[in-house]
Amino acid sequence: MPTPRTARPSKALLAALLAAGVRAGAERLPEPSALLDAALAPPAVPYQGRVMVAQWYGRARTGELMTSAEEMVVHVSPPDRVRREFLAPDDSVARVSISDGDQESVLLIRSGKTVLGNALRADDKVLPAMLERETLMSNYDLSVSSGETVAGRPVWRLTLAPKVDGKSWQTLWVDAETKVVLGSKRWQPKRPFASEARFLSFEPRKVQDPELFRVDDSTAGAIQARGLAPEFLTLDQLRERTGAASRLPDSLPGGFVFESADLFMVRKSPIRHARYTDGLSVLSVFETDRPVSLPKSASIPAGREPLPGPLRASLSGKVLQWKIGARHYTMMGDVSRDLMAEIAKALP
Amino acid sequence: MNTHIVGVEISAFLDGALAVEDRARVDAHVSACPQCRAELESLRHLKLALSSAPRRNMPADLALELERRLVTGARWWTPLARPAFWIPAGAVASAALAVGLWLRASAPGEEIPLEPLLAAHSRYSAEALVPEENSVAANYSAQMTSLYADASDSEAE
Repeated sequence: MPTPRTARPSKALLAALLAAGVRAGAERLPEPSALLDAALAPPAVPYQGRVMVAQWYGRARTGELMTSAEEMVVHVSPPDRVRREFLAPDDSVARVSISDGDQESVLLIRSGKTVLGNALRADDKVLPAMLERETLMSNYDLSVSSGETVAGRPVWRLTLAPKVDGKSWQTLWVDAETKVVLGSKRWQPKRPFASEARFLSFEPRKVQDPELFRVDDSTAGAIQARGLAPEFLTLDQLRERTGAASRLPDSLPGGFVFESADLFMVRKSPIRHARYTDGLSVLSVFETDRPVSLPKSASIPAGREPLPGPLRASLSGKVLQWKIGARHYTMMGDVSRDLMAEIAKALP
Repeated sequence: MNTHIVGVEISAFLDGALAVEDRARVDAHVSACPQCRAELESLRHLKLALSSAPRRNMPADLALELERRLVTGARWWTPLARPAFWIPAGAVASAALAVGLWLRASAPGEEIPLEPLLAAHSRYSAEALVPEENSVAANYSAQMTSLYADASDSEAE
């Protein structure tokens, strides 16, 4: 039974506080950390819109950039109901993800299958939200600028710049009125890796039909997806559960700290999944008894630091694999190859 | 007649792991040698039966130890692995060798697929303090399609 995650302050309250702060000084920009809190709070108003997602994930063997783009229609109803309809190139709906705050489903239209699991933020993480925020503040410098529009609406531009080389930057374009994040880009200077989501149209206060957010778990093709119901274990709980002495550390170079672990089976093989965060980026370290197949993309060559194994690019970040004794390690994340090499060296 | 084919070579032949010239040599020998042909068929059936049987994962340490012993032991048992030895030795010895060879030969096929791990990483990324929810949702649902879709989910072209 999932434990309800600690309630977050509402976007309305934070927006009011933020507005009061901005009004206090006529043309003053909002204070960056207050704007971040307002942007991350649950929405205060219902809305819908069309969003374009674009991703750049390395270079192919031919030297060309590998890119991916997709459009979706998003419906949101406060505080935590979300429906996303992912569109095929001909604008037909290819798949739908729905969250009612407790459950989440992904409907695969063509096969009629529904993948079910827990909604995002339905469970408490191991690292308390306050500590995660402190980790973010200690790893990134925040700044705010104005003068831009997204989907025709004035936005604040909030930038999170990493204090350590090799990590991603984050830009959020926050709607000046509703504090909804209308644009989000994670990127690395001079590197071919980035992901961006940006509203093409935005309709705030559009009343949403509750039926849009109904998670139907009675479908004949319903599948309980393990990945959609992650657990949040401490390292000790992971050790107890596996009965094996895992030597995963509490922290890693680059300002990453252990957040939680998960344990699941793939083809009867136990997968120990440790998650690390620097407050913004997350790193996954998978410990397995057998090797994991690598993406078929071209190998990324080593940079300044030697790599312990092959490094490949995927849509979900870089994938590095190596072996120590009988254990296989697979690390995923969006940090530079040199930082990945340094982090891998710090693992047992 | 050429020298009989050793067990390791027969297994590699079955796996298509022999170089072109070795494959041609084994092919020519097997077609002319009833003993080796019988050995080849016996191993082929055994591998087929084993590969379709339900699998129970062997602890990695034990699998590696078996693999190590198989590799280091190859020098002394290779001469014994000729058909002249195997036929009287019977099915038990044959099965033991085949299981060992199968363990090695099937190692690449025993890799854990990456997709469930990518999906777990994507799903967790969406729990981050500053999530890129729309990008992550796009990736995650696409990974679900890849994991759970059937032929009807593929495009016509």
